[in-house]
Amino acid sequence: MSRFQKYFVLLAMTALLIMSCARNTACDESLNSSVNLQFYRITDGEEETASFDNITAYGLNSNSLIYDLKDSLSSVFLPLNQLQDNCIFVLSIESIVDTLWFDYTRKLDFISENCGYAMRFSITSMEATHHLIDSISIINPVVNNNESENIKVFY
Amino acid sequence: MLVCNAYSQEERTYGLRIGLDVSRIPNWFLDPKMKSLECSFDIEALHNVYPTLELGLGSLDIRKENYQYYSDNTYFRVGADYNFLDPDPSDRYGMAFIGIRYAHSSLNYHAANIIIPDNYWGGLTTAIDDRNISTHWIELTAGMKAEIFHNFFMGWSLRGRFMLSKTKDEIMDPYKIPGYGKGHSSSILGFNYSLYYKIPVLKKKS
Repeated sequence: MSRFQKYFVLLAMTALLIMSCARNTACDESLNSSVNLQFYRITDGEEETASFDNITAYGLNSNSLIYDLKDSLSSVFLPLNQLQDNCIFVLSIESIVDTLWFDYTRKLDFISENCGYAMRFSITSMEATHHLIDSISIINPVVNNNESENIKVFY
Repeated sequence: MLVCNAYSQEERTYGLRIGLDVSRIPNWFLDPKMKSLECSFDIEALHNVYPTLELGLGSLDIRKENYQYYSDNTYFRVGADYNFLDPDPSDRYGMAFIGIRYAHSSLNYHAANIIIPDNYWGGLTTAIDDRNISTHWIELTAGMKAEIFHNFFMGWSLRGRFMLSKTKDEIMDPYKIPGYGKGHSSSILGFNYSLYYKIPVLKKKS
């Protein structure tokens, strides 16, 4: 066998070895997509982060609470309903209740072979009552698992 | 007085070389979710220039608890390799080459029983209906072939693959495109290891 051919065999065996390595990692990505609302106050024309006590939040027509009298939060994550194009939340802060309406488009997202698919959302519109909320602003309408700020809520 | 160049007066055999990419075969057993088969045809049409055609097919069959994904595709690559190795008396047909290919794949995929759980509002079960995705790419090749015994060759090549275009699909890119790589990648480094047989057609003084 010439030297040429010996290199072949070596390379071939190395290549086949590398190719046969099974990559089998469990899913390590979060599949859920929640809209991230962060709380602010405007003081002297500057916006600053606000945090509140006694926060309760739930989805309208749902049987369970997302937040149950939590203290000292400056943001909340609300899970959007993947079964329809809109959902409504009730947000109570220090016993004052506001209602939030979200409309959005839904998109399937293939995460990886081990994770499978997740649902991602893009908010098309949002409304809120103003019992405690002063105003709202959509910063990033894309709702996925990267937990970046989606909505500024001004109090 | 005749001046002879020892190599150029020898006869050279030209023929159609048929190859099979055997690097894919271990995966049939080790990772049966993706299967593919690729063969190649090349011929020394001009001195050191080897026009080449590669044909392949592939399939994916992934079944998990939360989804199933199926795809079938066929692909071809057409181009040429250029041998820059000087002829060696012990291996007159050995090559070290660079080359280029234009490649195309036609792929069908669909997904079923996609389950997306949600503890709050409720889980969703959905599917993706059959769709056809066409992809085009360019490959740059570099590799070697050596004649191990009469008319039988072994060869390997590295492939730099660069996506030119693909059918726009609003849901997903195909997960893997046999012959190319992961569907969402715009460039891929690939590898090929093949066994060849050259069907002798013509003997000629080179």
